Amino acid sequence: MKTIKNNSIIDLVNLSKTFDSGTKLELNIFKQINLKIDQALSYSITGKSGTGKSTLLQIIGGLDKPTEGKVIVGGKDYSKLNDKQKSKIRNKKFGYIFQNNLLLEDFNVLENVMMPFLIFGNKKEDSLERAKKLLDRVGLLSKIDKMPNILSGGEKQRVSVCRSLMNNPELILADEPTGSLDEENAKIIEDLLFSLVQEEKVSLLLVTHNKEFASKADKKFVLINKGLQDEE
Amino acid sequence: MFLFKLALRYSFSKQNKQRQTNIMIIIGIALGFTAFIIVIGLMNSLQQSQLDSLKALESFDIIVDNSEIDINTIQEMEGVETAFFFYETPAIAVNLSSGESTYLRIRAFENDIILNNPRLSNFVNWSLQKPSSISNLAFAQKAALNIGAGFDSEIKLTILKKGKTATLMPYNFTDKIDSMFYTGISEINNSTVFCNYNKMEQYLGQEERKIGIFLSSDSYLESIATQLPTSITWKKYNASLYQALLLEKFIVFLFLSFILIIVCVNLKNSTKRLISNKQMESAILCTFGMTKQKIVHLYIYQAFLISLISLILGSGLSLLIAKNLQGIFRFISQVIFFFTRRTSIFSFLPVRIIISSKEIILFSIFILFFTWFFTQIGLRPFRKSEIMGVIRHENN
Repeated sequence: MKTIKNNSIIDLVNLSKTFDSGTKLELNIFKQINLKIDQALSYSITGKSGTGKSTLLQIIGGLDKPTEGKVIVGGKDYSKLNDKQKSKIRNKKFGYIFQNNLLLEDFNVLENVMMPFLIFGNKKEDSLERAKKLLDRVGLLSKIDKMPNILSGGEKQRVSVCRSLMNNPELILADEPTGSLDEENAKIIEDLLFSLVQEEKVSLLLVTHNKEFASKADKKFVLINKGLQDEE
Repeated sequence: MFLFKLALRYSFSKQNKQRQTNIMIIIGIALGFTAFIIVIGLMNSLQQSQLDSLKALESFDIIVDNSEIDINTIQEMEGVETAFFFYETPAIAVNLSSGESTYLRIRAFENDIILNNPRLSNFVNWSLQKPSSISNLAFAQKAALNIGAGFDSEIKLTILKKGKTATLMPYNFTDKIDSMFYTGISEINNSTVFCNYNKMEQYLGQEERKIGIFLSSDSYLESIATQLPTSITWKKYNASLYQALLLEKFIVFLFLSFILIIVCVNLKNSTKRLISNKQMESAILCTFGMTKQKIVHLYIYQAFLISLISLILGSGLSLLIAKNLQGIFRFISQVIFFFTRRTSIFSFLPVRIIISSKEIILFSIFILFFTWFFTQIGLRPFRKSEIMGVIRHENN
């Protein structure tokens, strides 16, 4: 059972992102965003295409850098950490789910799920039970030795969900997790994601354009007019 | 270990587009390595047989140019297999029946050395029949041919010997050819005659004797040569040839290395292609906490893995070829004969390969170094890139 602390996992302080358009004009995606992500809560961010939802998520997850402002992870400014410390945070604190699942094609289902655990030099035996438990939970125990290329889109995304939970992260960052799925599979992933984060006592930050999906989160935000607004 | 397993999977996974290229590179390096071992091994063998002949017939292991040194003392030295007296002197030979003459060299050994000591006698091939003793003259076939001489021909030989008043004076004697020989060294075949040892002792005196030494191992060469001040080792005696052989080996080594550099350039391009193909996987691994440095290590391991497999395969293939060389040469020779109706050089090449572990280790290190070097070059764009940018573009 995960110990729930009262302090936040991530603090976004005056976060801004600007893209260099190649001309004298700079493209301001969002500015002065402040957000606190607490333990064991789910958050959703919606907004129109191009408003920078995914960019914001990627900055939070350390996949991109803000133009201004800070991302405070565990009380430390993420940008001030060295490569090794950043890697450790990505491995231990975050779990990622991408729209296109991004499974490793050279590895089977079980290995894909265990990958975040193995990357940090842990033994396969130590993670086997947890990986199997997660795959059983998503109904894929019978497919553990299958390669990703023979799985359906929905199955791939379920593997991706398991992989994100493998290292007992504090926060799952999900970027349009149902974006490339049909309605039926999207529904399965939605239900699975919310029930799993509840079971595992993990925080969830969900970026989606699907308002129904987003409405299931504890805290709902919308990215509009270059700022983050509380939807409630 | 995890990185190594990952590298193994990335190299040969069936899902990997790069797999076929990797296999081709392995075949390339393995064949290059095999070619290197076989060519160097054959050259070692050819050079060794040349040096063996020279050491047996021409320079021995050591020649001591001082008859005052006690031969028994030399014989008792550690590493000395045989020490023996011999004579060597230039001469002019005239065939008395044809009047033809030639310049040649007389050498005289005791019968036991020239006929029964395998270190020497194994390199002398006798025409018709091996004589029981060198009673008169044993002529090199080619030298005899040069002056139109044959068995029983009377030959007048003129040598220079120390005189009582003059330093050197010509001395003539006549003898009969009672045996003929040939060797693997054309210089000896053209200009050498073996003479009866006792007769030479009588003509030149004991002070003109030299001592030839055969060693049990080449490792004693320098230590014994230092103990005998007037000695000359086979390396010094055949210095120009020895240097030429070393140079020849170096040049072959160098040119064979070029083949492998080409293969290694392919390895570099393959690494570049692999990085390009695996851009997304690298980014995913990075997302899950792998550092850029570790990903660089992953690609280097992969390149090393390919090279190591190639080296093992190359070594195995070389051993297989070395074991069946005689059959391979026979086959090539038959194929050439079938098309040209001519006997090829493969019929005469030595059927042994001398594989030097030092050379193989050196060449393996050379390959591994170039693997590392070219992989580093291949990885340069990756080091500069922002890996996780790929994920951003994929998801935006």
